[in-house]
Amino acid sequence: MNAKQTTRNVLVLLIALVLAFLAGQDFRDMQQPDKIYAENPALTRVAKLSEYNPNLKGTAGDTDIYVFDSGVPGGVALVYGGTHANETAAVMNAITYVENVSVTQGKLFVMPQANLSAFSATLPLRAQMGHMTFTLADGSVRTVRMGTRLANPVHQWPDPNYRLNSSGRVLEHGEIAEIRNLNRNHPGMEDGYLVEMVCYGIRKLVETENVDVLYDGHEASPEFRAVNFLIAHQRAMDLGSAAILNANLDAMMEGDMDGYPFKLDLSGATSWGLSHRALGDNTQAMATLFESLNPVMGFCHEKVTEALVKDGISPNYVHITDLGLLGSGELTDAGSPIELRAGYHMEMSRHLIGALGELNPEKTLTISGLPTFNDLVANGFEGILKPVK
Amino acid sequence: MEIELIILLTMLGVFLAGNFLLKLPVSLSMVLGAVAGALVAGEGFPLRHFFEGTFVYVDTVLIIASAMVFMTVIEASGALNALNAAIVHRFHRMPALMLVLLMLMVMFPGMVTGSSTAAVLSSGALVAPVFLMLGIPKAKVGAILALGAIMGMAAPPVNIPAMLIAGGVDMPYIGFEGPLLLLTIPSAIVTVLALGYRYARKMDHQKVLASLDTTIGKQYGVKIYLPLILLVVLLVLTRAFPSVVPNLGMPLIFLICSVVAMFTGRKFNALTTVRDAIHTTIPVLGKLMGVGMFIQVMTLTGVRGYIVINCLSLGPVLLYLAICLAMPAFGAVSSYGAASVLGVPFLLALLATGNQIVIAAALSFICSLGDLMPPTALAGNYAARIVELKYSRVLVHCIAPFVLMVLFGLALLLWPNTFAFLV
Repeated sequence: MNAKQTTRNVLVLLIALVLAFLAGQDFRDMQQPDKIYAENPALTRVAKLSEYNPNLKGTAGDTDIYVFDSGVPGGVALVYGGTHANETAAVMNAITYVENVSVTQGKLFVMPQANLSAFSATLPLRAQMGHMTFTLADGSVRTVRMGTRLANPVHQWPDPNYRLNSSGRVLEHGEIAEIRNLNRNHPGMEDGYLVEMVCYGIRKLVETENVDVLYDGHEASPEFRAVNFLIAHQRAMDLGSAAILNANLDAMMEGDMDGYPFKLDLSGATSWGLSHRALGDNTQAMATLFESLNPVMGFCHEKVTEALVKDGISPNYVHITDLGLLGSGELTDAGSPIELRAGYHMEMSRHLIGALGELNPEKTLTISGLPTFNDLVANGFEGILKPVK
Repeated sequence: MEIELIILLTMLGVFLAGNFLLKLPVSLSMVLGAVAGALVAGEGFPLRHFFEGTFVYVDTVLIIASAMVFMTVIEASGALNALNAAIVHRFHRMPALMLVLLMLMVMFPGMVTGSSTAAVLSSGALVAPVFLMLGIPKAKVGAILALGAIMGMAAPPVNIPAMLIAGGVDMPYIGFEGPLLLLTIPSAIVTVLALGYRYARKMDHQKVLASLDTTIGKQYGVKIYLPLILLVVLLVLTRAFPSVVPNLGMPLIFLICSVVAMFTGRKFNALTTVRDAIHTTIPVLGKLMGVGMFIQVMTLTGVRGYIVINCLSLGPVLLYLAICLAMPAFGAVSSYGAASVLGVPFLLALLATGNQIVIAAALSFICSLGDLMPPTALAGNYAARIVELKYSRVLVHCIAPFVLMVLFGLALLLWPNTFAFLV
């Protein structure tokens, strides 16, 4: 190798190093913990998932659990988002609970970032945004992290060729990356892959705290056929029916005679590893999962902007819907704004909690303080979120 | 003119200008196209997106690099020569059967890895000298290797485009074996016989046998085949008994076999051999990284959605035409990209027309053929490199089989319910 060639090679390497260093700042920032408002006076304490699976201590899976304990015997519920960190409405729903909810009977657990590791990465080829922002009335800006569907490979790598997981689900070939998907590995393992250990922590939380109803919030692209569906374990079907009925009655009382577009479906018998099946089968809790509609998660959207992420307006998807090609068939010119989607999650989870006491009075869990659906949609998160000091 | 169209034309224009006018490598031209697209879209210089896209195919990059090291090493050890001599000696009286078996050998690594490049670089390079010994012209051998590798990539059990397409509409990757075998096995047999049988039939047995170098095989005996045997054993065991055999991964398997090859045949300079292997494969690795960045920027800027929406707005005739033309053409960027960008919406458009698994299988089959499309042409370029020709000379012989295969795939798309019994 002559001197000229060596100089050229060194120069190329130096440029590559500088670019890698600069890009690395973005990726390093994603590793910083998200700031969540935790000054709600009703908040009893902030627990860690490692309290339920000590193997998680010090790992990227040791997520926060916000505990609201009334001290009065009653029902127990677990409401969580962030199973998939890019399904932001479910995260916003959980954050809204953390900031506003108050419990006067029973006990409530809230997890905004169930798969904490997944909040530290974005999915290649999807050109995802790393966060969204809300400017509040006092001029401060709240930033909410958006991650990806799977745990960050930095925290769990490499994926094996094959895994027979704790639910009996075989992960292999094209599905093997799902070993990093929280919603494929329930009920989990005490000492397995990181995500399996997180699943085990959730299972132990449900068992130890005698959780009666759990709500796993999700979002789906318009291509998905079960949008705005509540998927319920067979033991949770009555609860789900009552919740949807009550939600619609509430909407009608508020003057919305069309009600909510909620539908109910039974958890698939072979949905191994999914929360509604595996936690329903392996714990005493009535397990449910709800999907709202998020256009940015699909393949056909326009340029990725904060407006697309927050307002969910996608003429492309409206066009495809008009062509009759989408199973969900629900997207209109009005879009699917974050407040509407998070509002659906809030109504669904709130009415599941309400129905718990209706169907089983000694399990009553009384909550208050949440904004109404109309307040949330009208004021937006700019008017709902609280400034983080 | 819509902004997305302007961005798309800019990206393609800069890419082509870089490649053909400035004579830059395809990889760097794609990077320039992506950077130009981001700038025109008002995204500035989105470094995070550039990096994220660039490293999306890092798994494939590792497989290709390690496979290339393995191929170079077993060539240097003499194992390739010995194997070729043994195959011809054993099967020279049954040319048609030999051709079909060789074609299945080419397909095998693609079937288990889902990568046409892995197939070309491993078994493709192994059997190429055998095809040449049979008297088949170099260009046609290149075409056989490229098409065989693509058939392997599209054949079950692992067809990555099918997985991407099915995953996009929440369909499990189950029941694809029948339709995919129907599409790939007959196509592979017809291809190898059409391109090679007339040469193999006229082969001068005595001359071919006399030209075989049997000394290496005799000198080292079975020992020289150990790296190849180990490769097959590890590939099969890790797939057939995944709960028993620990996960090694394709790159490690290739590297283990490469190390073994250093002690089982002729002595060679390992450092020089590995350096040559990596030097040879760098351009293709660069293409994969450039492709990732290109698609990431297409998604970021809305160009991806623009392409999809325009394809879906076509009438039925134009829709089928677009499937037959646009999906393989997108292979010029990436066949995996074609599956995720175009395959998913095309499946959505056809869902109501019949058996959805047959439709998804046929779409993935047509997508896979994109690996012939220059300038990326992963399977094609490596096949041409193995036979030491320019890809354009190999491509000429791929055209007729390509057209027939697309029409075969189209037949399944038009009459999916007729083939539903395969599911």
